[in-house]
Amino acid sequence: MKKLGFIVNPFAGIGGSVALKGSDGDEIVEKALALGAVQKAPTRAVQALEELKPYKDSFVFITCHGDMGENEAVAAGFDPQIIGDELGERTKAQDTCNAALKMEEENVDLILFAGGDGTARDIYDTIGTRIPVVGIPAGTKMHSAIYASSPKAAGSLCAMYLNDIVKRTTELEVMDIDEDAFRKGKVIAKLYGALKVPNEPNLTQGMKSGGHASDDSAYLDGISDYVVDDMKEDTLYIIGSGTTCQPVMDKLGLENTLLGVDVVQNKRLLAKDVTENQLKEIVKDKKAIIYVTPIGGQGYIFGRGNQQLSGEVIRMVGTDNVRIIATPSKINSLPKHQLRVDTGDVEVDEMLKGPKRVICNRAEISILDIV
Amino acid sequence: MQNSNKNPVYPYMPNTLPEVRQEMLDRVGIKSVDELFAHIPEEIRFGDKPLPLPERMASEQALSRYITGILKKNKTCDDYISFLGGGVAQHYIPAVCDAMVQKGEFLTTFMGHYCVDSGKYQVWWEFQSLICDLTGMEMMGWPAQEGATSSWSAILTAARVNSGRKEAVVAGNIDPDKLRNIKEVCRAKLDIKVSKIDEKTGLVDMDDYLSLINENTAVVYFENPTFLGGIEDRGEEIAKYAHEKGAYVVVYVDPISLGLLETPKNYGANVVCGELQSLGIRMQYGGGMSGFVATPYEDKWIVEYPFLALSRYKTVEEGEFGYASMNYETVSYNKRENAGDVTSTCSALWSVAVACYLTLLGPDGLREVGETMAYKAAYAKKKLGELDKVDILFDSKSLKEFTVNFDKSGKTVKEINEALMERGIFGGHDLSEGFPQFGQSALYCVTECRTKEEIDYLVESLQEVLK
Amino acid sequence: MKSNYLSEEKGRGGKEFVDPQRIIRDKFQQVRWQEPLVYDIGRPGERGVLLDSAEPEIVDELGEDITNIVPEKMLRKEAPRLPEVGQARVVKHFTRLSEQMSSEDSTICFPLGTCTMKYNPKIHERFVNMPQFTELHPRQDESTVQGVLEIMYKMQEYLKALSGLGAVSLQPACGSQGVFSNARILRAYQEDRGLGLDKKDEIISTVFSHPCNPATPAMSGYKVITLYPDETGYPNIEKFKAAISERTAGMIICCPDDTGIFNPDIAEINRAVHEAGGLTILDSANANGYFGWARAKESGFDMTHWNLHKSFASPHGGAGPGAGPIAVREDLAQYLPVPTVEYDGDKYYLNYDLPKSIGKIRSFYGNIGVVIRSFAWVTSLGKEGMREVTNTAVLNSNYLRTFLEALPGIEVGFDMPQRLHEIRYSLDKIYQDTGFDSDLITQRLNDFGIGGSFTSHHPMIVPNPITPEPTETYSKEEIDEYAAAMKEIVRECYEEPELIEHAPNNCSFPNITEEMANPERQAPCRSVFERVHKGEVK
Repeated sequence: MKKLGFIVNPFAGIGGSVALKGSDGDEIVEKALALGAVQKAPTRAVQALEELKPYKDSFVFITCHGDMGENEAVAAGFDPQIIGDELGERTKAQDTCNAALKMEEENVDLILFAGGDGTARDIYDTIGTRIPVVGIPAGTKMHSAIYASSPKAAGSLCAMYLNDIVKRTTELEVMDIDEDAFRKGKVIAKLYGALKVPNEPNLTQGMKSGGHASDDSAYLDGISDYVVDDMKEDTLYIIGSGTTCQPVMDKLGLENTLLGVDVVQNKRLLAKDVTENQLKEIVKDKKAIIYVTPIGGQGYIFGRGNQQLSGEVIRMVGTDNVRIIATPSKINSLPKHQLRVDTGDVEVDEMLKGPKRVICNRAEISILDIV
Repeated sequence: MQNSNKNPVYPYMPNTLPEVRQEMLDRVGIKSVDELFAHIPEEIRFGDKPLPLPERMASEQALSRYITGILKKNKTCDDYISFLGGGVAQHYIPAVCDAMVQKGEFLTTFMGHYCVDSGKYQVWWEFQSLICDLTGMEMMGWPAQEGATSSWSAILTAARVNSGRKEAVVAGNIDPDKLRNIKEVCRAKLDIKVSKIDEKTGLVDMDDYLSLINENTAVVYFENPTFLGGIEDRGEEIAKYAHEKGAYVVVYVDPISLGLLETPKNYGANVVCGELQSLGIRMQYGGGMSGFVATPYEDKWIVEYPFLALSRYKTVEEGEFGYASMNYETVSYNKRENAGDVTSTCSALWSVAVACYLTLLGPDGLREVGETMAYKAAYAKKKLGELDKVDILFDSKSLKEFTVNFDKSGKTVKEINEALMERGIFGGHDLSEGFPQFGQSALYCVTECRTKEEIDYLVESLQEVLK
Repeated sequence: MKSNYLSEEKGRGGKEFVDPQRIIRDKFQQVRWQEPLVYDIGRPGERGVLLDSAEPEIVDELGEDITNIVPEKMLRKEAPRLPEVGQARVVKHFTRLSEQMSSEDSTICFPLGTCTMKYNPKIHERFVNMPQFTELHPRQDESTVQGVLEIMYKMQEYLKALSGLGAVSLQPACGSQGVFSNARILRAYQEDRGLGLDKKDEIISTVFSHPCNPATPAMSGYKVITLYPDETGYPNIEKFKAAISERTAGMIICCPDDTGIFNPDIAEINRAVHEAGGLTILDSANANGYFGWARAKESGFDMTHWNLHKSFASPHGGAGPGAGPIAVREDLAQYLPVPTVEYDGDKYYLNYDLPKSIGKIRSFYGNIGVVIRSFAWVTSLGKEGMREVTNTAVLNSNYLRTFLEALPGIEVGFDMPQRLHEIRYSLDKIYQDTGFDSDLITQRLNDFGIGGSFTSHHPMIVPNPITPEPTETYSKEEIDEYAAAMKEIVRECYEEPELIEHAPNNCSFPNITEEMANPERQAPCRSVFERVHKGEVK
């Protein structure tokens, strides 16, 4: 019988909905909680476990105390074996590493973990490629290719591996943002390491790559022209994060937050780097259009670095008012040229799915599937 | 003895041989080629119907008889004494030009790697360079489809460099078909203003032309010599005025004139374009045409240059140089703005003819052929002018073409040309439709191919015809 | 005679390889002349050819002073700096350069997908070099050009037969001019029905179309909607339906496309576009994959264009002249470029009386030499031969496939199993293993005398692609030789990488340096070159 190790970083992605990028460091976690942030990772972890429920009697389930696995497992209806020490209220990176080491001692066949880039780095630091892993995406800056495309997909992949349906593994990238470059306004993901992941390409995320600014200037120019020329009086324009959205703000002569969400009205900056709650206030009962761009190399338009654009916000704006912009080279970097969504609200995700227009230039549109 | 092999034989398709076909089918694992098309839905599959074409003409002899038989129905400028011009003319083609253009290597080459096709790229680079030296410009690339293409490409290029301005001034004394083409292609980007023609000279009405130039003018365009034949000698004045107003100057030339006549660069042109047929390309019923656009070698022009251009680079071997595309990115960048895709087929084979021609003639030969034409055309002009009922319409000087008016004779150009044909002459191109303001006028073209006897015979014949 | 060079070894799918050692030309060497520039041969005073001067009587009559007949200020003050070379040296110069290039006449095969490199029959050259064609002036009276008009008319009839459509224009000079003409006709048609750009401003295309397919309609003011393929290799019908709306003016696609796929839903897709009031345009660049098996009309297309310098055996000339004739539905004939070539039962004539014509696409009537060659070609093949062209081309392509798929690291791109006259493969596994991309790998083919290779148009959807197209004129032996060379090259990628790293190794020119990327070191002409390399040129 196979052994599954399960680890949750309960504070992964905590910064997301309050526009704090990432959750690295204790100060960020405190700040986020103070701003009213709600933990998301535990919920996502449970979503993943739902996929494993049908097979719960065919493998051994090992996990950590409290919010680092026990609570989620029980919530999902499992009866886990608990290892390691009792944990404090604010768990830290060191706790993740300890847990991974413990699981290695227990000879687990697979580690299923929920977290973000930071968590992936911690796991890598500890076990390298010695044990295959499946990642449940729960962080904010999700550049690492090792994560599954959604909590459900993570659960499915895990199940397939435990049941020997997927046998091969491959090594995928663990990334983090190059902090220096980020300060200079460039989103460049730095390769940090690799983790071994069961190989079912449909279910993993692909690697985010930094913007392809040099090839794309003509298209970026065309896209910005299109967006700006189309702006109607009094309508709110919510401009998402990413390098494709930046030229739009530049064309308007407005300040832009690379990783944040800004709101424009009548070609002026209404609000900068907003949180989910702020957005809900701003768009209440007003006509709004959301412009988002897929994270290059992965294809997520919601759920990977713009958690402020939550399911609720999208509901309020209306899925028909979501517009996607992308250059052809970005489209080409997307696995199977597909777009993905992971708003956290399954219903909204479903509403967004299907073929969708993507603006590539003044007079060029592509149609891509949101899956 | 009849060929006992019942299967049709195809000289161009060796794999139709039954045993070869069978071997290939076996290896692919199918019984017949039809299986390879089974996935085409039946409702649209044409498979069992015969194509509505004639039976094949299998014998090369029969094909030769058939096609040469049809072509022999034509009467050419070798059978008639031709005074036809207007963008294309019968010039003397040196034997070396023919030989090179018919060489299988030049004829059947296509996209090879730079190291493999270095010979082809060297010829193309030499062609670029020769046109640059001919015109005095320094940025030159692939040839355009033909002269008219080069005209609107040059106009649009200059307009892009002068971004923001939305008007263009075009001389009225150009080929009406070309003018229509320019208007149509440029209509989305530029407001084309056409100048009046000076009735005395056939050149642009200077006052009118200049009056159309203002702060909104991106580019001004004129031709030299003009379609009606005259040599424009006020180019300097036009360029000075245009530049003062901030407009760029595009001049279209007949390149065979540039051995004798000044290049537009030296009287202020920013862009030189033209039709290359006169430099060693046979007429081929209008199928032997090629154009060029040459600009200054400056960043702002290079970035907007409309065609692919080759550059000469160092190789890993000391002292040896190679060739590769120099502006693929910028042309791709612009390609949405241009009509032709950058990798589009153009008229590359003719660049071999042009390179040969310019090399064979050299600067002296080019000047001489210009002189020869100028003399012969002037002689024809003089002699025709001496006929009563014939007027030489314009008092401008000519290189090889001039306009002849027949109003006094009471006959139409059509009637006159029919009568001339009976005498073995192709009379000048009928201008009455394109330029109704000039009545029954015709464009006469006298190249280096026309002998004095032929010109005298024309004069004699016209005298008869107009009695 | 059975192939005597299949090896003992078997590859994937149990297929034998072709044994490279028995048939590839591994000692192939291209000529290397180190031929100087045309500027650096000859010397001042030399001359390549002498032409007539004006007769002395003429000069006497007008006066020796040329300023009598040409304005003095217009005389060229400084002679252009052109070469001065004796005739024999000119011949040697260009002949030597002609030996330093690959050509359809000499190369073993030319696996350039979508370019359809096929044998250019020499008999055609006899026709197009006849003075009865070359010495025709386009402005000649129609009564004197009945021969060439007859060929043009009959070629139009051939193209109607091959498309099933009612009217043809031979005027466009290349593929993109053909697409451009069709886009203009589309716009004229829609505007005529009051559905101009303000009502219908979208054209649908796929990412596999030749780049000119989206670019040229954009010039006519349309927005282009690009569809991406499914894993099958073509966009499914739902994607087309998602793109179609009341703003759809038309659709332009290539079928079969560059990957060799014939979209089985094409009739349904065309119906959907028609229902929305759009017109459908077929890019027949890949006609070699459909002669006799599918036609524009039955597939539901309203317009199409061909590339005569590809499918119809007219030589490429390096990059033209070519021809891109169009065929349109009968009712769209009123929009064709003028003039059309007509026959009144008695004589052939040029018809300019089309008040709704889109005008002229180029000067005069088209690249007629290309038309004559194509006409001769279709005539020599006739109804059975034309289908045989496609039968043979498609079998050749699938035959080559059995060899390439047997090689480790080569896979057919996309899932659709049936492919026609060309197939897109991916060499990505080789790239992942060795770091050699498909461009570099195919450059090594040149060392075995095999001509240029086509990877893919941009964007490159299939990673590290190659798209060979063994047309119907290649023999089995030549295809085997290509397969053997590929096998050898794949082996070299893993076992002798130094042979691949700087490929091609045996060709006329050594590789260029990184200078190629430096804008400061570029030079399109002699004068710029001399400035840039001051002091460095020998």
